[in-house]
Amino acid sequence: MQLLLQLLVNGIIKGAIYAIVAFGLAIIYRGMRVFHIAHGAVYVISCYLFYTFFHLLNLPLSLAVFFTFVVVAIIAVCIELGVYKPLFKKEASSEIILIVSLALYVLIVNIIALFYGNETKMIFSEISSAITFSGIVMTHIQLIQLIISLLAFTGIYLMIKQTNIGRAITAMADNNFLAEVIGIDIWRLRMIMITIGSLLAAIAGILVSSDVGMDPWSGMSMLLAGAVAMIIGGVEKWEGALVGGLLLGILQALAIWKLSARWQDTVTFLVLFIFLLFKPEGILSSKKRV
Amino acid sequence: MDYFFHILIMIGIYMILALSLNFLTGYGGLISLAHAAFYGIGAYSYTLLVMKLAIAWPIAVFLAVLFTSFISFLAAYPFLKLKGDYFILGTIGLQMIVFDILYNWIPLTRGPYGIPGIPRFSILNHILNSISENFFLLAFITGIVFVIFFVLYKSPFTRILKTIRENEIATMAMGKHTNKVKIWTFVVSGGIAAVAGAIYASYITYIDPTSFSLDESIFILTIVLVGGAGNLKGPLVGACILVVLPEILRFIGFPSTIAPNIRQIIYALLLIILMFKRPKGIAGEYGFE
Repeated sequence: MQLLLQLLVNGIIKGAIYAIVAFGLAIIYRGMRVFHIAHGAVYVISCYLFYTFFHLLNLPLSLAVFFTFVVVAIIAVCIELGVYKPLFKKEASSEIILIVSLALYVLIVNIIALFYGNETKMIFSEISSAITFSGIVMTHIQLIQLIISLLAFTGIYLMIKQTNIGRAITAMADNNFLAEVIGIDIWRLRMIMITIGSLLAAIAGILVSSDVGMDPWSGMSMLLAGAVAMIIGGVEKWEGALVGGLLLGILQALAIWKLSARWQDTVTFLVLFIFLLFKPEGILSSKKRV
Repeated sequence: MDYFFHILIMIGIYMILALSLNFLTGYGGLISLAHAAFYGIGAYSYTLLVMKLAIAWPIAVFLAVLFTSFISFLAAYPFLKLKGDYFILGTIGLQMIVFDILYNWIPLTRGPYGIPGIPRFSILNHILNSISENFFLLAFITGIVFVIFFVLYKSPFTRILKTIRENEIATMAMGKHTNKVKIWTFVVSGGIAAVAGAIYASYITYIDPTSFSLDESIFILTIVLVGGAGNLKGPLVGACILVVLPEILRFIGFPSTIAPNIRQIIYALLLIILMFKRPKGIAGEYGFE
């Protein structure tokens, strides 16, 4: 029982990270009609940027985070202007956009591997101190992961619900063409959306890499977890990313409990298949769109 | 000379893989990132049949193809309901699940340690140990696969498949069983990939799960897309280019530690440029419009 509770807590923390990755992916997928596989590459970039600024250049934490955000935002805008916008203007099919995004992922990840090497890098070498709540152990970094990712999710969620830009994003997500008709500058908004989405990936990257380190190939599994979380939670609702992320994290924890950590990917994708077959619109959405 | 034959054998293996994926992706319009899974299932089932049950290799190849076809038959059902991005994500899922099984079912597959010492093909009790002998047999097998697809690509079945690609509902309205056609496409595509798996296992004499990972699936899809989907010559052109390209890099003299990364960077760039400038690929017919 103790073990199960411990695993559930770990699952929720992991799920909160998945939630912000899924949220970023959902903003880009719904708003820009791009299945952004390169989101995984942006996640890896932010891990290595943070590593460079904080660990190699010894900048203070706040500055390192700030510079990571700035560079990630620039890269995100470059991806939109250099790749997705031209494709969108050519009215490329969603298959082609996805393939280009996949190729972009492979490109970026291998460039990172060229510069930093293929082996795992750590930011903090010592083990983080832990706190205990009635027998359940949580390291400080885990606590920070949980709090920051929930705060980031709430912050962006409120921004989307409350501000004008946020409402425009929801309008774009619901109907691209109508959004343009009512006078929304869709190109500016697309840049804002990919920036917000990528910054969410960057937060996840910084949080995860501070805990377990990074390697160039970790982006794909994070992307896939985010995509699965987005779909099982329900693409049509912004809250879906949070619900899906937490559910996926908990299910993976249960998989560790019953099987072993090696079968995590299998569990992730079995969950995806079950949802795609029996509830393709996800938990929260009511509309069917597959 | 052996080196030259080795390259030709690898081109042959990837031609088989590209032709079989092309059936699904080029003619069916269904982009799959699970082809390495079927390639792997073929390689592992062939290896286990030959090594654990000591079955003669031609029968083992046949049984491996049968088994892999059966798995693709089962795998096809969930994919009938999926379209577009979700279909591709689903194939990634299938690929990851198969990789996990190959990697983690240690009693059967030996997991990350791989299976060494797979016997080479033999003819009349003569084991083909030299690369050139292997080349001639494998060229023969590749030739058979080539003829199969030559006939298949021109068949009425494939015409229905192409109609589904262009407009599924219209095809249904014409009274065709679109689901049946799609399932058979999966079965053939997966089954032929198993042939490549068996050839690979017996030629290299060692297999481990990393040869059948998502990266490999991406590579096979890249061959089809760069060469061109939807006709016979596209995958052949693609396989030649993408297998020979890294060998040229080797002659230029990149250090071997970064060579795999440089190779993948070139594939990715090639793919991006082609998708922008020529979505049909170099010699293809269908560009996912």
